[in-house]
Amino acid sequence: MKRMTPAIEKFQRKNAGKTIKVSTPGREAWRRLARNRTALIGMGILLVMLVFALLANFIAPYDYQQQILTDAYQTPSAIHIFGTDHFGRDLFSRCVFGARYSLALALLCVICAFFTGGLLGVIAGYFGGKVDNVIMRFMDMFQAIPQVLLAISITAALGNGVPQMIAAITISTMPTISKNCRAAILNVRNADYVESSRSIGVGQWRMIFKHMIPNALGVMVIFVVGLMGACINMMASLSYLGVGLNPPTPEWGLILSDGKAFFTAFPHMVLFPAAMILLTILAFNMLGDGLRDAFDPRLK
Amino acid sequence: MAFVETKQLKKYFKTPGGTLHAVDNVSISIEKGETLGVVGESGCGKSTFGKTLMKLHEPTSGEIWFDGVNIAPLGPKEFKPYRSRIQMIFQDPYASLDPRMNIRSLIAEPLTVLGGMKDKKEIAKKVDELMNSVGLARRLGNSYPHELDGGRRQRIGVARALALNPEFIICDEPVSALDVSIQAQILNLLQDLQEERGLTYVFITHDMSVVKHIANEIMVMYLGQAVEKCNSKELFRNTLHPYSKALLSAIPVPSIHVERKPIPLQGELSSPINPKPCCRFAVRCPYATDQCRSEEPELREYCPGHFVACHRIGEI
Repeated sequence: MKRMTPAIEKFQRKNAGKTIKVSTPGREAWRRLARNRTALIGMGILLVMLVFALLANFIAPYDYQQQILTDAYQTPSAIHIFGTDHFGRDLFSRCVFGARYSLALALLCVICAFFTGGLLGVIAGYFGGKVDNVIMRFMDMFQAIPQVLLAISITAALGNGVPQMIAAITISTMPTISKNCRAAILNVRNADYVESSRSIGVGQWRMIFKHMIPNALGVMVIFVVGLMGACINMMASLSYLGVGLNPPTPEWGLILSDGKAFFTAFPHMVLFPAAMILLTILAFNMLGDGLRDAFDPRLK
Repeated sequence: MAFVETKQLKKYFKTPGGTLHAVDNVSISIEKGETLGVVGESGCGKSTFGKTLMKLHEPTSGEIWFDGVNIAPLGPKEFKPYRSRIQMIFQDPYASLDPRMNIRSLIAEPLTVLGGMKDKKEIAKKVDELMNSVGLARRLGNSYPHELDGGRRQRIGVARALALNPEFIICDEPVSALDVSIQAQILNLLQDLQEERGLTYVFITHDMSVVKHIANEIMVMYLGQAVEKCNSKELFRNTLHPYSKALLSAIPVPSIHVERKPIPLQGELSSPINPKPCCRFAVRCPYATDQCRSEEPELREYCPGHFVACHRIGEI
């Protein structure tokens, strides 16, 4: 037999006894994501927003609800980098605290929507037949009403406030989320490996949680990220329309709503909160696109 | 009674267009340690037959006798003890392994799920044994299916099927998705395992040369029905049904001096939905008569041990 080349021998000696890092499908996806510039920019923006949200107390230079009427209507300057509003509140501080409200509430909405709509969708997709039909027709009923209109009517009935708004957004996003989860599960339900697991006696709960959900997770993660953006959008819309949170909560939609009367004279009162909303939604969408590419095995 | 028998096994599916007769009145009997080859073209119901045999599909009617017990009417709980004794090797090793599990956990899964093993060391030891017996190197244990070639993946499939020490294995086209050189490896592995453990196989394939290599008995299926059933040697020596003849004529011969006369079949499979009472092969059969088009032929014993379903047997 031919001797191995010295290079290979050297490599083997060097790496003897070392464990080789294996590439799991998850790691592969992460590696692809890290090479995607759009996704990285999205992640960067979100990271900034996250820092704002977590460290708002330290970052914000002023109290977000302190009114200094003598300082009202100030345009951006070194003292108030985003300017001040008609009550003389520092807009930058309000926007920074707004990140905390928007991100936390959007996350809560997504979690609630997943535990209701997502679970129903998984059940519909897995069991199929009559169960599927009943759940999906129920969702169709909700979907027949335009999403924003549904959310507005729910908050109109329940009143303003955090739990009410979460309920409104959860209920109005439930149909889409359940349909997406159902589709994701249907996709894996007919996979060969599900049948092969059945042949070795895997029961239905292990099948759902050990085989189907992990394989559908890629699609679901993409959907969650997109949904975060959509929830922030919806929250801002509701607050802007006056059926979301109550003032003086520094919610981006509310700040925007406060500023709209002064838009022609003091555009900064609208532009900055609008930019925060825009950037965050954009970042979520960019990250979502990147995730979709990373999880798609055909793009390897 | 033979080790595995089916009597008038039927599997129908309800479709919007009518009832699809995927498996229609198939009766087989296999002795312990033997291999029954099931051949036929795509869509003839051979995979459905295999899956019905191990109750991945509930049979519509008919009996499945396994080791003296009719398992067809058993519910999931009553069937559970038989689940580990009847196992299956799947067609496509690229699709039949969960891409998010590594090799060791794939092989350990049947041990924990059906085998009820809890001790981690014991499981690890058993997994090592299994990997060894199907010829998988231990270093591959932490790899994922997408990192391996088709042959190795199919070895994982075989190890999963073997994990619970089954007596009866249904091989659903286990080599169709593999390269020819690797096909031979897997076939040899299956034959070695059969000799070692006295396994009984149902070997489903569309490849006549594979079935010739591995089967003792052969059943030729066409549109859900058995059209010819006999000893493997007998089938290749004395082919009776026109469909089997056409199938055999399609085997390539590795010699340029042999004059081959392939029998081309006209047309396509007729629809298995609400089939008419006639010979299902009549549409494509060069010898079909009016009787074939109006009357369903029965599977009759033409000579000892050789069953054929054809009206014109003996004439052609």
